[in-house]
Amino acid sequence: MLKRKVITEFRRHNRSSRWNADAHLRAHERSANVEDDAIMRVDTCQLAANNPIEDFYSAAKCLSSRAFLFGVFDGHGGQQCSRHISTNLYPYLCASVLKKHEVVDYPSDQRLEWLFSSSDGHLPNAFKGRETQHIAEYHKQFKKNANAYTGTVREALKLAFETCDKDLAENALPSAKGVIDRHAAMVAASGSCCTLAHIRSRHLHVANLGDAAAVLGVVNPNGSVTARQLSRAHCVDNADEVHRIRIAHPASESQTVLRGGRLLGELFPLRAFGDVRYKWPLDLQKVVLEPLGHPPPQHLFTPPYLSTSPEVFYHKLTPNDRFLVLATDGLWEWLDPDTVVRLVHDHTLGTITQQPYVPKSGTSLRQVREQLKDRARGEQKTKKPIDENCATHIIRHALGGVSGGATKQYERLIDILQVPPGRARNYRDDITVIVIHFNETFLDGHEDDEE
Amino acid sequence: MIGHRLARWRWARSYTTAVANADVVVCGGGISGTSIAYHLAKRGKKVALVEKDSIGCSGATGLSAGLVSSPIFWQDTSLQAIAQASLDLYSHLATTCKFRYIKCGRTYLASSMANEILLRRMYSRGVVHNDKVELLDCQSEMLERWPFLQTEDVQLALFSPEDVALDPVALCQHLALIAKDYGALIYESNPVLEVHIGDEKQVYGVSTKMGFIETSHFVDAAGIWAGSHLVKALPHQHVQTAAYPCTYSYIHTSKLPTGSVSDMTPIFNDLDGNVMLRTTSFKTLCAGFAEESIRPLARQTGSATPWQHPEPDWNTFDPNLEKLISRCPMLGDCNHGDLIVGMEAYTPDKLPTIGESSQAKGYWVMCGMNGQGLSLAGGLGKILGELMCESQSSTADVARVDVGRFIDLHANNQYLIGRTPEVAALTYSNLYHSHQCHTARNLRMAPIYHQLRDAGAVFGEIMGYERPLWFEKTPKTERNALMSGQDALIGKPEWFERVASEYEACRERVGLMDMSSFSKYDITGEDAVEYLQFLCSANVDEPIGTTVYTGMQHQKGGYVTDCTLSRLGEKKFFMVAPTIQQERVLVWMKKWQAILKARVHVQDVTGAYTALDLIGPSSRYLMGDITGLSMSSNDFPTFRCQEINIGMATGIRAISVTHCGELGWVIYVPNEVAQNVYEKILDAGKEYSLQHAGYYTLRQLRIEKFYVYWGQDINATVTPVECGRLFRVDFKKDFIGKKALEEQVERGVSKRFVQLLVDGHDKETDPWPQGGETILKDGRAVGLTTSAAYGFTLGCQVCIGYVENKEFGVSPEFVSSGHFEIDIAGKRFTCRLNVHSPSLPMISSEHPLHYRPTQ
Repeated sequence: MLKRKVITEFRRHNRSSRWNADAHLRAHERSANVEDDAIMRVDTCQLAANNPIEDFYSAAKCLSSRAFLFGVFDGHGGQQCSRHISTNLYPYLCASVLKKHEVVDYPSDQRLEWLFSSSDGHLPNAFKGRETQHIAEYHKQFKKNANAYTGTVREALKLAFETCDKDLAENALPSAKGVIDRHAAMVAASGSCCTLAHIRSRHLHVANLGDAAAVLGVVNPNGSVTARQLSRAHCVDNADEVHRIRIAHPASESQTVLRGGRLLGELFPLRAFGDVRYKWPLDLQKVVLEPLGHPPPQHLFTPPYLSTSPEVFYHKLTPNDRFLVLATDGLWEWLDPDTVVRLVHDHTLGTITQQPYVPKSGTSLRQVREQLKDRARGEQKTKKPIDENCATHIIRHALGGVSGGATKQYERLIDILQVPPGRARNYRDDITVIVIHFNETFLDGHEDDEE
Repeated sequence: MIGHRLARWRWARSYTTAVANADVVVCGGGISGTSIAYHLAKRGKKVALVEKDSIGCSGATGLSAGLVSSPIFWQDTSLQAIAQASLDLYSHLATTCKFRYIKCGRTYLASSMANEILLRRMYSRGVVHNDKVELLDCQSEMLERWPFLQTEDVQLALFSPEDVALDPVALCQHLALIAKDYGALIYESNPVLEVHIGDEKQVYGVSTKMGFIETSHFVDAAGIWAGSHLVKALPHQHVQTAAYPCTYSYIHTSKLPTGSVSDMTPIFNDLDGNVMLRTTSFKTLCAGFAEESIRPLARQTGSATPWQHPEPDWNTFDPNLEKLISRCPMLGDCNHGDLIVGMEAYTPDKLPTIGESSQAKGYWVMCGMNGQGLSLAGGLGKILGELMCESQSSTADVARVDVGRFIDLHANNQYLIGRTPEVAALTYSNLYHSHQCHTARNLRMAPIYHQLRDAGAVFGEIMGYERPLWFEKTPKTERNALMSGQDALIGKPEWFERVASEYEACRERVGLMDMSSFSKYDITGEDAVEYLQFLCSANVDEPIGTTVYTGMQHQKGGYVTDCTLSRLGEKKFFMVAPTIQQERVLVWMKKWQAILKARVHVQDVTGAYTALDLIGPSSRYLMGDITGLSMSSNDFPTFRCQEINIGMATGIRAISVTHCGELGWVIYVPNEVAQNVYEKILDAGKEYSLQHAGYYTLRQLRIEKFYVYWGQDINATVTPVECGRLFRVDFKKDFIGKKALEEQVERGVSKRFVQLLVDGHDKETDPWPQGGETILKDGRAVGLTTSAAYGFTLGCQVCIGYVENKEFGVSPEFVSSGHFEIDIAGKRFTCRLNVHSPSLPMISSEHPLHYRPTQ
């Protein structure tokens, strides 16, 4: 009697802890059917490690050029900057539509249509007015600037990024009366990496700043899937970045500019929004930031050290390109791009990513055949993955591992999810994943010869 | 004795300190590496063998099951010779050394008509040399001999007694030991770090982990690691090879639960199931070659990387297991054992690769064994030894296995990834010349490819180039225009009626053939005439506008290639050679250019021209119509060349040689205007009922005229004297191989090419000749056919082949007397022999001033 009770209790506990893990994982998942142009569906999911979370994501459509914009924003030193960028970068992007891509010329404040965002866009009213003004001005400048207006998407994206960052920093400057806006100063003092996908018809641009990454899943003719990396992390592992930074500063600083794999010994990403501590000259920092408790970094001799110019990759989508994964570095610490695309591909096919079959000892070859047959049958029957949402599916496998079956996976998941946000930062980073599924029929049929 | 001891002491010491120099450094201690080291050391070369691990243990050799196929398996005569040389070597070693060597034989099982004929052909070529080869067609007899097999569906079984199961590791170690006795230095645990090349890309040394070895010859026999050694001075920092690693899986399990298996039980190859079974008194090995179970692996980079076993994949092995259990039901009761997945290097054409790489002088390769390493490496080592020491091989013709058969595209990883799993699946299949792979297709295509496809072309690949084989009558637009698989070996092939109609057009009206795949070269420069005079055996110093058919001979008189040379200017020649010669001829010409220090420039222009062959009596009028020039036999006789315009298109080279002995022209059209010219020809051709023709038509046309082709009939082992081309040789000038030919003329030949007309052959029901059939004179084997086709005018099967009489030579009486037969798949047919090209009647119009290619 007692024994049965124990077993039941155990089962209940088991079920409930599994249920808890699932609920925890799925708490911030979101799925949107877009079915417009090249985009079929977008899956997102987020898992916090910081408290509050410093990762943000948002998606929008530019009505003027009919381009879709998807971005993941990985904040550091506070969530203010990433939160600010995740909503305020988009108007700049919409304001920098090239002349040849302008389908309808809306005024700069009516160009943006939000699809979704993990941050609310409500800003203090006073602040908002200033932003609108900035954007209107930028829009005017952009249209006047013949080079930019008739240039390339790459340049337009760069300009939008840089202007957005410039205005963000400007907001933090003392006003004519010498008043400092605390909120704006916090935004400027914290920082944010960003990976942004700009998809117009079948033209995909990925603008990257920092250490998040975009990976394209390409299906080979034989049915296997390969990962194509569309971004490069801007950190010390990237030799080009290191070179770029080293030559930008005098030789006397060669010992201090990059120390312990970090910029000035402090900052991990080598390009970011905000982080004016690495951009502003020392005297300005003393006036604005120091009173707010942000001392300037050591060895600050020749600012700026940090760039806001994104690296932009272009890719023309083909029918073989099935999906794009945007994720912050929290994910890439756990999984490599090849595994991620395999997971997404298997998920879309509706099959479980399985470990290879290994016969148990003592099985005869005939039994091996039967077991293989059963397995093949089972694959058809129980092929449904646990999560509907593809991004959740990735995070589940990132934290729970790919091997060892469902029980083992849950064990690890429950283990790692038990740690409360805040303390969890010691074990993992915030994770944000966006999976953009492309419309194969659109890519197959539609052919335009621009660009 | 003392000397011997001293030498021993020196060798012993060499284990610890690196030598300063060696004649040859061999990389790889597998069967390839030890075989070549053995053969070179035996020839007195100072060899250093460098192995990154230990002899015989790492790589594919160490994982192999130790099964050696006897020569009977191969259709190709050179491979038969290579396999025979391997067997001879191993059996010789088995008598002097102690290692496991069991002559257990092999049984091939066929359960379909196609494979039955395959076995009958195998039997027919095997029984000539060994009367112990058996054919069994009675199922109960099979069951009696091998009671553990399920034989109900087996139509025919062939027992080949010469096949061997041996211990591959011990074999390698013995080879290395003997090589050491001959003075070779063996370094184990010593990976090659870099191969150094210096001036003119000549190898001068090899860096290994133990030190630098000075040498001028490096042999890359590193198996799946071949081509991965660092060579800094090359564009890719390594030599590119056309071999790629794929998996090779087999199950290693316990003994079959029956008393009827012993170590002498033969190896079983089920041809239809594509599986192999080796049972002994203590274990069972079973391999399967289903294409889906084979996967290409990443190319191994850096020889220092450890051997990484690919993960065993039972799922993909399942189809093989099904076939194995159904063939041998008892196997199902065995323990699951181990699924062993090895790696083996495969090439695009299932033939190994040996020879000196054209990318670096002194860099020799021997790799790409295609799962038959043990069967071939012994002989290949011998041949490579001959090539390195004597520059020609006397064991076998190397054209089919040398590196020169590949061009850049073959070494492309993507191409190899696509092709090699299919090749690996064909490990135990017999491929005939008509065989076409289904992977890695549509790579090189003529500009008019799509027009030809719409016109009904069925394409076959050669050197990556898609060439129309024949044209379907009513082509469907949504069809697969790429031929794959091979022609039926018995009865009329599917294309017969179509080729008959194309043939008729070429003989009586006009046919249009795409010959763009042929290798083309521009040869220009101050010394062009002298240079070519020395390379070619015919006189090429003819007036501008003349085309000469000539051979290029090597020092022993054999054909390096045959070609047509058209003189376009005082110092400008245009050369056309067989498709498969694209790289080989270029290497040969560049080699001699360097030796002679000739001021010439040789440029490969194969990809720049589309070649259209207009064949047939009406071609003269059609050519006149499209060019506006007179094409009469006085104004543009045969064997002439001229640059012409067709419509608006210019720069077209017209040569009045059709490569099949008919009247006609091949026009070489610059690719950019090819479509324009093609459409113009089709338009103008309507009046003459122009018809498309494919490559198969060319085969039938040329064979009737006894037109021998390089690569099919003749090769480096055949001289012009033997194939009736002496009238093309000009002994008044000096050329490579002149001395050898003069000697041969004086001495007479022991081998002679003949044309065979097969009597009493029913083309509907009899097995068709394919080349490689035995020729019998009064019941005694005297030669082999080399190629075959159907003679539509002669109304019978026509073969080209050679007859041989090593003792007394081939005199006219030898050919004219006696009763000649050929043996096609065990069935004998009476033949008439021709030594010269026959005169072929024509129904219509103008008979060309008849060209007799063989005299």
